[in-house]
Amino acid sequence: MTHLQPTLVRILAILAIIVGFSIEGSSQTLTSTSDGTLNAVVVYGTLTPGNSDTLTSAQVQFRIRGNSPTGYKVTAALSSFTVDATSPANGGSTATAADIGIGIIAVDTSGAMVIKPRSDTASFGFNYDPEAVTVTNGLTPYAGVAAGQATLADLGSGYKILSGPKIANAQNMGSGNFIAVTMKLGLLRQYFTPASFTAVITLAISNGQN
Amino acid sequence: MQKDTLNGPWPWRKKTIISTLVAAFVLTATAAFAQTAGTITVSGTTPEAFSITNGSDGTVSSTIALGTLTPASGSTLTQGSAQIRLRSNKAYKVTAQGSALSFTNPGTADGGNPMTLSDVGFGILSVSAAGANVAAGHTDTIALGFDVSGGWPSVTNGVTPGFSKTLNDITAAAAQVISGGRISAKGNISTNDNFVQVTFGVATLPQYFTPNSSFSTTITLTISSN
Repeated sequence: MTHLQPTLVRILAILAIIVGFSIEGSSQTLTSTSDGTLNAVVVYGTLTPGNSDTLTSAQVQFRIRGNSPTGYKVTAALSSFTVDATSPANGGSTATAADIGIGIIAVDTSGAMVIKPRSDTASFGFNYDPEAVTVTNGLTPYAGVAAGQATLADLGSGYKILSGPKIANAQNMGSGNFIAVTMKLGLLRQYFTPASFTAVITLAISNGQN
Repeated sequence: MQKDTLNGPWPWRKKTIISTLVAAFVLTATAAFAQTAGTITVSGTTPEAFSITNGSDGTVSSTIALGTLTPASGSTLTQGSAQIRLRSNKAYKVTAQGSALSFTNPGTADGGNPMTLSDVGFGILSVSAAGANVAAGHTDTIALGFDVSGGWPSVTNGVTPGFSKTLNDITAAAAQVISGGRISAKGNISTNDNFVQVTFGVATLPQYFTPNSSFSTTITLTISSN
């Protein structure tokens, strides 16, 4: 074993360093409300246009945990937006990412282990309820993130939507040490080109508030 | 003496230790990097959609009241019209289906003629598709015989004129009266500039037909994919 020791020690040292960096870089988690992997599915179904200005909406909830002293940030990216048209556009409009509003409507920090007092900030443009926007003339009401009404088209490859200070000291998947975030998506049924569409939004949490 | 390298010939115990340590690292790293991201998948379908509404975007239930048709001298037709709005997100057609004339308190024919569906001209007086949210390049085609935008035919000798189409032409079977490309670029039924406005007209010449208290017929318009 004598000739084994130097090499084995070097290997163990390297592994210890790598594992150490792993633990230090992942002090945040983003999960479903059952603390599993977030793979939320929003099915709008068939969006037949009507004569109402009521927006069709859906909510998604997730949990975030973090013990980094630098705080956390959540980013959202539009990983894909695919449209499968069943009829030609023929001079009309097809549903796009800009027709789907997205906002954060609730940030629940009431967990017993969540550090308080605190201030968690939904980024400007995402701090609104897409269902509460006034519709004019039966057209898409969302004016974009700069106007305070973000849509999926604003997400791009990653947009910070929420940030705040350290959440809790404990980082395990326990109760009371997470923030529950509720997001809402909104859409107005219109005479868009007949098609089916699918959007994939990727949420990610990381260290630091900026 | 064995060389102290990973590639040298080693006893199986040493290889096992290394393998175990590597496996432990992989498992640890995997656990450490888990659940910092998640996805939301949003899906939906914008279906083929067509609608006919009245001029206020409500249900079409128009009544054209021709009133009391007292015969007089001259050639003046009694006319009526009804406007509808059409919307669609693909090519469309509209058919018209009439019902039989229904008489209230019909008199005795006594060798004369009652009013019939053939005595009532039917057609399209106007089509307007000028709204800003009408699909670019949109056109409409009025079916042959149903275009009365140029006016009704002249009356000769005080009898029913030669209407190109009458209610009788849409009663035996539904008849296509107008068609066209996609109408609405976007918007919904309350959008005020994404529709085609069609004005339908009827006309008849008051004559000495068999008397009645009233008569009525129903015209059903249907829009569908073309």
